[in-house]
Order: sequence, then C-alpha cells, then structure tokens
Amino acid sequence: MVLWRALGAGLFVALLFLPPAFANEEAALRSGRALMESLSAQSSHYPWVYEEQTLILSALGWRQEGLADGVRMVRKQRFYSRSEIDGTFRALLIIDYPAELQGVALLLQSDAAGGVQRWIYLPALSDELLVVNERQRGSPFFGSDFTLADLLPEATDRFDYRLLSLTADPEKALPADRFERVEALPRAANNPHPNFRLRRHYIDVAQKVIASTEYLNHQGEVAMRLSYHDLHALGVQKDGGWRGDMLLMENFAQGHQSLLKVDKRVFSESYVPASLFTHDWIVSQGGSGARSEKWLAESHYLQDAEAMLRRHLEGGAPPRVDARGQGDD
Amino acid sequence: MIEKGLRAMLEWRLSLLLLILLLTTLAGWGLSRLQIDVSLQSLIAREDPARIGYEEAVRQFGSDNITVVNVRDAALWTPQKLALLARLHEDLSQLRGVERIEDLFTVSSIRGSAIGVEVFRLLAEIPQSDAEISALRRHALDNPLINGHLLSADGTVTTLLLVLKNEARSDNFNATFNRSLNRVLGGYRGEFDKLLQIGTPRIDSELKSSLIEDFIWLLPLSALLIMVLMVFMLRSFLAAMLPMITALFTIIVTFGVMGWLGLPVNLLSAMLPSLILVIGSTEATYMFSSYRQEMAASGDHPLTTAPGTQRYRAVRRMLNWMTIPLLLTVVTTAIGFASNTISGITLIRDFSLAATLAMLFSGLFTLLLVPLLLLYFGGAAAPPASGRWQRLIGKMAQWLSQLQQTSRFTARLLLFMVLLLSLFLIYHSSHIYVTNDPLSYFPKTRPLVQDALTMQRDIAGTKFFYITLKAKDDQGFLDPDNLARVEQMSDFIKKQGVFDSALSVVDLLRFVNREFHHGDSAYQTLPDSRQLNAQYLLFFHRSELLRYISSDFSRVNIIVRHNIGDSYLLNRYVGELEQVAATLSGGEIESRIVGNNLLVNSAAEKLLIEQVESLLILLLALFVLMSLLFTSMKGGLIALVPALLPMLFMFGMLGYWQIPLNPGTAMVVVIVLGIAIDGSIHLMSRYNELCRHNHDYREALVEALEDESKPLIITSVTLAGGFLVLLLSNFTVVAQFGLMAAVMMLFSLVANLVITPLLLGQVRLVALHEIYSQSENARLLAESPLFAGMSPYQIRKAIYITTLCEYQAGERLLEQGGQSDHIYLILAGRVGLSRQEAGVEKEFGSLATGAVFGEVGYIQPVLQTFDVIAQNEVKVLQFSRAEMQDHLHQFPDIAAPLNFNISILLGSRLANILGRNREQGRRESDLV
Repeated sequence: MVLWRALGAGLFVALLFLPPAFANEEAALRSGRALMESLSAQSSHYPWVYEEQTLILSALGWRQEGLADGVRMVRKQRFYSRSEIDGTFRALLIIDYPAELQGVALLLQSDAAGGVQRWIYLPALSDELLVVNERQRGSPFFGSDFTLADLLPEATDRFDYRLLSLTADPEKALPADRFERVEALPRAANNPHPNFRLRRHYIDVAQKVIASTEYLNHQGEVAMRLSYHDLHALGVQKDGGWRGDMLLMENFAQGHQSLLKVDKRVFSESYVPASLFTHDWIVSQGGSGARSEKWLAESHYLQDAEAMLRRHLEGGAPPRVDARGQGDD
Repeated sequence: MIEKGLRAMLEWRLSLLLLILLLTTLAGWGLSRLQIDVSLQSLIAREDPARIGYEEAVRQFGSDNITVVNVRDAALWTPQKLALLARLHEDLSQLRGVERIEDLFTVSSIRGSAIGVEVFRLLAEIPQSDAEISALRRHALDNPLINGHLLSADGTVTTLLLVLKNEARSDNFNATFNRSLNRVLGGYRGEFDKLLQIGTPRIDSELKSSLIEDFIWLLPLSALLIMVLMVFMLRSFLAAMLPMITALFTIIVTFGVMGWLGLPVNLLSAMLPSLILVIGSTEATYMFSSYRQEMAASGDHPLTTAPGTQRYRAVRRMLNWMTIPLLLTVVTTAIGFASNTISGITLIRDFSLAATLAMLFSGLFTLLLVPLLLLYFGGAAAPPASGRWQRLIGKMAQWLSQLQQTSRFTARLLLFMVLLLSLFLIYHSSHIYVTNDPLSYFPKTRPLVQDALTMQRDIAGTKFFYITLKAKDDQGFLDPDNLARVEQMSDFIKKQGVFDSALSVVDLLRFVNREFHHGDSAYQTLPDSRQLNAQYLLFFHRSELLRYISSDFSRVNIIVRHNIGDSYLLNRYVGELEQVAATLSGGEIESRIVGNNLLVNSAAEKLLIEQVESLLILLLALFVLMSLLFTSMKGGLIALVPALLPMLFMFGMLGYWQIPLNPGTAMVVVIVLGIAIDGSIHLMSRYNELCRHNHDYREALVEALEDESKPLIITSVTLAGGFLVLLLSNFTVVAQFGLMAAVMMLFSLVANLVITPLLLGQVRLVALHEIYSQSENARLLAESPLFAGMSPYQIRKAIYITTLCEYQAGERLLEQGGQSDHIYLILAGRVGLSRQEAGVEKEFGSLATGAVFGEVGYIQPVLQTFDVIAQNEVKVLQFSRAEMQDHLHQFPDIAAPLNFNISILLGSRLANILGRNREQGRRESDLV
C-alpha cells in the first residue's frame, strides 16, 4: 500500500514538471532555428563569390612527423558560386595546380526545391562533363575531407536545430556568454550529410559566425570537425558578419585532415558571370598548364598556407573551438 | 690459493651459509620486478638497416601491424547482418591501439554508366531492400579491390582489417588488446556463423600464456622426474636434493638479478631453468659421486662435521678432485654465452647476459652449497647399495672399461668408423636450413593454427609485407612507364602463385579506368597518360591512397598478403621478388621488400646463426682451456670430440630428414654442448689426475672411466627423462626440443664414454702445467743431469712422454725383486732405500729432490735390488723405456741427448760402484 502511494506521488510530481520540459524543448528548437536562419540570411548578402584557394591534404598528426615530402598534397583551385533570385545556386570548383590536375572541375547546381545536380570534368579523359550520381552527396570529393554538401549553403529546411546550453558540456570550457551550441538533426529525407547522425555547431554569437562544427557518427562520436580560423569582418562598416579565411577539416575516422586557405576572395558579379557555369567555359579551362605554371610562380601561396597551418598547430592540440576561435593571427 | 679458499670455506661454513641465504634473499627481492616479454620485436636489432627501411615504409604507408577479423555468415547480405556488422565495425574502431579499419564500410567504390559515374563508400548506408542489397553484393564481388581481399568469392565471408598503430607492439599492449578484442567479439558470438581473429596480439598473448603454463607445470614436473630417477639410481634422497637445491638458489638469484637489472624473461631465457638444472645436476651428481667414493673407501661414516673426521676429509678430497673441473666447466660455458652479450639483437643480448649470470651463479652455488650440504647431511649419503639400477650401471661401466682394453687395432677401427660417420653427418649438415614461424611453435591441432588455416582458405592469409618502390623523380609514379613496372611486379607475384594477394595503386587505376569506360573489362588496363592517372586518383580519399602511393607520387607500395609460415620458404620467395624488382627497376627505381614478419624472420635466422657462432666460441674456449690444461693441442682437440659429435649428429640428422633448425632445435645444441663439455672436462681431468698416481695410462684411463661413467650415465639418463617431460608442452617447438635434447643427451653420453676414451687411449697427454707450475720444478728440470745440455723445448718435448706420479708416505715406488723399465726423477719429497737381507730389512739411505734412480732397469730388465718407499708426500717424473722407444725414435734430436745423459748417469753410477768395490777390496786386503 505504501509502495503504491509512493508511486502515485512520483507520477504526480513527474506530471507537474512535464509541461515545462516540453516547453523548454520547444523554445530550444525555436531559438536554434532562428539562430541558424539568421546566419544563413547573412550569407545571402553575398550572392557572388570568387575565391582563390590553397588546399593542403595531409595525415592527422603529420605535425609530429614534420613537413616531410610525400606526406602532404597541395592543390591550388578556384571557387565560384552564384545565387540567383529564383533560388538557384551554382558552385564551380576548378583545380589549377598541380599540372596533371589542371582543369579538373566540379560543378554543382541546386534549385529552390532542393534538387541538386553534380558534374565532373576530367580533361585527360574526355571533353564531356560526367554526371555524378546522387549517392556521392555524402562522400568526400577529390580525395579531400570536404563533402559536396560543404560547398553548398546550409539547407536549413532539411534540419531541425536545437539550441543547447554550453554549460551542459563541461569538457568544452567555452565562455557561455559568447558561444552557443546548436545541434543540427537531419529530417528524414534528403539528408545532405547521410554519414552522420547529427552535426553540432559552435556559434560565436557576437560575431555571428560558426566557429566550428562537429560531425557525430551514428554512434554519437565526433568523427570529423570543421573549424574556421583567420576570421575577417566583412562589409564596409564591418557589419556584414565574419568569414574564416582558413578552414580545417579534421577527419578522425580516417586519420586525415584537409586545410583550405582562402588566398583571395571577391564578392562581385563581374567575377562570377553566369557564363562560367557552362560546358564550353569549363572545358576551355583544362589542358594548357599555363595556370599551373602561373600559380607555381606565385608559390608564396603555398608557403603562406603552410606557415599559417604551422602557427595554428604548433605547440598544442589542433585548433579547437575556444576563446581563440576569433581570427587569432 | 684455491686450496686455501676451500679450506676457509669449510671452516667458516655457518657464516658462509648465512651469507648465501642473505644474498639470495636480497637478489630474490628482484623477482617482483621481473618482466616477461615474449614479443618477437626484441629480435630486431635497432641498427639493422632493414629495420630503418621498414620504419620508413611504415611512416610512409602506414602500419603493417594488422589483426584480421573474419566474419562468416551464409546470410551476410541481409539488412540485419549488415547492421550487426556495422555495429561490430564501430565497436572494433573504439579499441585502443586501432589506427583504422579497412573493411566493407571504409572501402570506396566506383560504378560507371553511360552518362556518368557513381563514387560511393560501399556500405556508407545499409540498403534495406533485397534488390538493393543484391545489387551491392554483385558490385562488391565485381570489384577487384574487394573480391579476394575484403570479401570471399562466394560473398559469405568478409574481413575487417584492424590496422594497429605500429608502436603498439609491446607485450603488455598485445595482451590487453587481445583481451579487449576477444571481449568485443564475444558479444557477437552466436550472431554470425563464425567469427575468427588472428594478429600479433593473439599470437603473442597465446605464446605468453602458454609459456607461463609451461613454466608452472612442466619445469616442476621435469624436476620431480629427475629427482625420482636420481633417487632410484643413486639410492639417496640427498643426491636427488642437491641439484634441486642448487638449481633453486641459482634460479632465484638469476631471475632476481634479472629483475634488478631490468632484463626481461624472453623466449630464450625461458629455457634458463632447464639449462641451470642440466648444468647444476651434472656438477652436483659428480660431486656427490666423488664424495661417496671417498666415504666408501674409508668405510667409516661418522656423523660429525669437525675437521679431521672422515666426512670432513671426504668433502675436502672431493673438492680437491672437483674444483678445477667445475671451474673449467663454469668458465667455458660462461665464456660461450658471454660472447653474445655484444649482439645488436636485444633478445640475444638479454639472453646471453642472463645465461652468463646463470652459469656463474650455478657454478658458485654448486661449489659453495654442495660441500656444505654434504658436510651437514652427508651421513645420509650411504655407499652405493647393490640395487638393480646400480648393478645395471655397474655392468655398463664395466663394459665400457672392457671396451677400452680392446686391441689397438680394434680401437683404431672403431675410431675410423666414427670418422666415416662424422663425414656422413658433415655432408648432411650442409643441407640444413633455418626457419622460424611463431605459428609453428604451436601444435597443428591448436585453435590458433586451425583458425589461421580457415581464414586463409576463406579469403587470404593473415600475414602482410610491403614491396616499396621509389622513383627517381617527384611524381614519378604518375608516369605510365613506371606504373607498368609496378604492374609487371604484381603480375610476377600472381605468377609465383605462393602469395594470396598483392594490391597496389595499379589495381586501383585499372579498376577506375574500367568503370570510367562503363564497366567494360577491356579497359581494365593502366591509363596511358600521367594526367589521367592523377585525375583517376582523385576519386579515392587520401587516407585510402596513403597505403598505396605517397602524396607526391614518388613512392608506391604493393601490399602482399600471405600465409607462409616457413621463414625459409618465405625468404626464398622474397629473394625471387627482390631479383625481379631489381631487374624491372632498371636502375630507375629503388625497391625494397619490408615487413615486420620479414624482419622477425631475418632476425630469427640471425639469432640462430649467432647461436651457432656462440657455440663455436664455446668450443674454442673449451679447446683453449683443455689445451692449456694438457699443454697440448691434442688434449684440446680430444675434449672437443664429445661436444662436436652430438652436434654433428644432430645437424646431420636435421639435414638428412630435412628438419629445419628452429629456436627449439638450436637450443638443444647449447644444452647438450653444456652437458657434453661438462662430461669431457670431468673425464679428462680425472684421467689427468689419475695419471699422476698410475704410471700405466691405460689403467688410469680405465679407472677414470669407472669413476666418471657412473655419474655421467646417471645424469644423462635422468636428464633425458626430465627432457622427455617437455613432450607435454603447449609448444611444438618445446616438445621437439625435449625429444631432441633427450636423444642428444644419450648420444653425448656415448661420445663421452666410448669415443673420447678410445681417443685418449691413442695419445699421450701430460699436464705440463702440473710440472712447470712450481718454479723450483722448472729449475730442477733445467739443472737435472737427465736433461743436461738440452734446450727448454727439448725438455718439454721429452716430458710429454713422462708420467707425473704422486705417492703418499709409506707407498712403494719400486719393489725389491720386482722388475721395472722406468727411470725416476724426484720432483718433490724424499724416498728411502731398503733391502730385505736374511729376513731383516736394512736401510740404505735415502734420495731427495732432484735425484734420479731406476736407470739400470731402464736400460735392461733386471730384478730390483732395493725397495724404494716414499718417506713423505713424493712427486716423481717417471720415464718408461717402452714409451721412450716408441715415441722418440721419431725425434732423434731429443732421444740422442736424453740417451746420452742416461748413459752418463749410468757410467757415473758404474764408476761409483766400481770405486766403492775398489775401496772395499782395498779395505779388505788392508784388513787381510
């Protein structure tokens, strides 16, 4: 009898607390989405982006081995993206260096309804743009640790976002007054990141920028981490938000990492005309080797990228989301 | 000095005993710090250039420390089983030390179609419909990177390759990892039809646990059997306890000191207890037998230990007999083992150091403890009763003695037959080959071995090595010509047909080329431009390529998978590959074949070679010491015979029956050599000692054989029994060792008791050092009229055919009325001359050191006119006419002055007699 009474009391107390718990969850989802949508809206201020990038692929922990020959691979590439008023988004990546890869291109196009199409161009194989099947959406491309989805703007309509208190994770030791943590949980269909159960964004609220994203596998472990460094304020009044000039993707599962350094960035329609995203223009970029040689002549890009990587990695753990998250160079 | 030390040892026995106990306790404290390391990594020398090349390859292409997990299930390609497999993959990736996993979940694949390509991770998502799964299965089987590597041809077995961090090879890691892995796999038993794993952690863990099990069971069992056999044979509990006590002290102190010095117990030093028991048992048994003979000779067995009592005297005499042979044995075996302490291979160096310590401690404890124990408990050492065993051993000893009394012709015929046998064995020894395979240590019925075979049958072997190729130029392996060379190399491996698989960047490129041509197998070829090669490689994640090609494309790696256990075969095939690689490279490409198992194999071979070298050093040490003892190289050579013959016998038999030399069989040689050397040192020292008292060398030989054969037979038979217990071992290699050691023990017994005495009977050995050890002896010889005008060399040569005899006070050297063909030179002491005249003994004075007598009998057989009796302890050098004539006719430069000196002596003796007669006649005529 006593037992039944105790159980009843417990149930009553639980019911008392249940509505506020639901209410809290609801609020977390609402504020998480609001935060992500505000970030997404900010990036829509720049519909035309041209970037010259240096990509360094290396094994995780290579710092311990030294920058020995043969343990890293360096590429120079151009990135174009263009958003149209009708919701179409196009991105084009063209490799300029090394010479053997010059002209290799990846073209993406997404429409307002969320449909994505991808093509690749291999100049040494044929003059055709080859369709890349949808199954590749979650796979890394061109041997790097970035996936195709990383090239696309965050598809906020395909995720539920939940704002979590930072204090819930004592390991991170981040200042709770500056960072927010948002979990992005994929909705059932069309998950752009099918290899991961969820992503966890760490957002610098003051600068309105994602400082780091953790990719959690289906077992709930951090399999990859993307961190942004060398942050620069955008806009004349520095009110256009911040962008990282260096992105480090650490792939813990594969023991590998990809460092993307933006050497030059221009937000201008004249740099990204619509004619770039055509078969003829893409095919015209392959083969001569001239760009590769030009880039080699300006090889300080490579040194710059390596120097930057060194500065970030030497003397401690790989960059993490912490108080240094703001462009620390 | 030795004598003084021995006397002090007996006088301060109680203090000594307490000191031994104290030091043993102190050293034994180190046992708590002792570590066991059965890892084969310590075989690989740090400075080994092959190791440096291997480490470079591992840095470049990742670890080859791979544990293979095979999952068999008839319904593998169902959503449920694939989901389970995915869970297993995740669980395994959590294990500490796993660098990464290569399996169906990590492998990328490409599928070409008319309009494009599909690049995907094979099982990034588990399909739910049967049609999708079936298509995926077909695709996997159609992918040459998956079929035969990660999936069996029938699709029912898949492999998960757990690439472990290269540095994770320590003994502790292996044990922990194996436990964790088994725990994870245990959670899936019953979920799949079969779940097997093999890798270094499992092999090392099983080696370690089996080794410990052997230690716990076999050594005590072996010791018990030895004790029982000794009790039966010697009919004395004390005799059985002595070797056990000394072995116990030696084992405690040796392993304790190893603990203090940080020397781990490794695969080789695990044999140390057996070695200690063997050497210790032999010595203790010799000492016990010698003591018992001394006691039996007196027939008095007082139970007191005071100096002057019979037991005390027996112990002292035993020590006088045994100390030199014991020290010789200890020094020779210790030198043999110490020779390897400078080895670059940690395993050998540690073992050599431990074995040297063990030999020294064993000698020390035998020398200190056995006499003390005999002094305290020797009363129980009853003289040999005539039990069945004793009668049998007695008969054997008798037969051996009779064998030595055969005619010279028969003896030489026997020796000739031994020589023929030796030549036959030498011929077959040349066919011997070395092999080392950790899996061959286990019996074939063991699950580990069975699993390895099953896994190889299912997909491929569980062993890996790399063929790394380095081009002269950066990006050299984008060049189609260079890639074609890699392809030729892969094709040769396939043609060889001995390895299970060989995967390289060539396979990746051919596969991608095919898929970019809509799966047309005609395009399963290498692209013909470096651009296309580079562009195709973009479709693999860098971490997947890392195993096959460096980021700058200057190096490539062919990963070869196999299940060849026999290192001899493996090295032969690898040798073929090296030749092909050198031919294909044409000086443009640098090639290297590396792998941890190859390093271990080559190190194991080096180990065996170093063991053989150490044996040669041991033999050399024995030769030098015995040559010094007898001041004759003949003595040194004869001492080698009983050691060499069993070695030859074993190597010859191994060669004849094509049995490889492995660490187990190689250890047999060390142990048998130990016991053989021990036996020959004792026999020859005894013979040398007896020759001092017996002018008849053949008689001395027979006597030595009678004295020494019993302990040697007893020790050899009991130890052979002890070794046979090892047949129960968990390791095939140890069982082989046990059997071979037992057989060799008996063969070495034959060599020691039959062949060595036959050889000794053919030559004359004189321990010159005995004669020259005292400076007054050397002076005496130089000044003796017998050697007047002879050079030191001539004197030494002449002494070779003499006998050094020792007599106690009262002993008769010559008997009145007897015949003798000897001439004597007194080196020490005094002899009295007396004669029986009409029943009354009359004394005719005495002869002191330096005097010569017996020269008349030497020239012509005459009846002795005097008794010559030792008045105190006397040492004489005895020349036999027969021996002299026999040997010196070949050396006229020695015979001539010696005979001349003897004739002068005789002449002066004649002149003396004539003078005396003349004087007597003059006195008589004066009187008349």
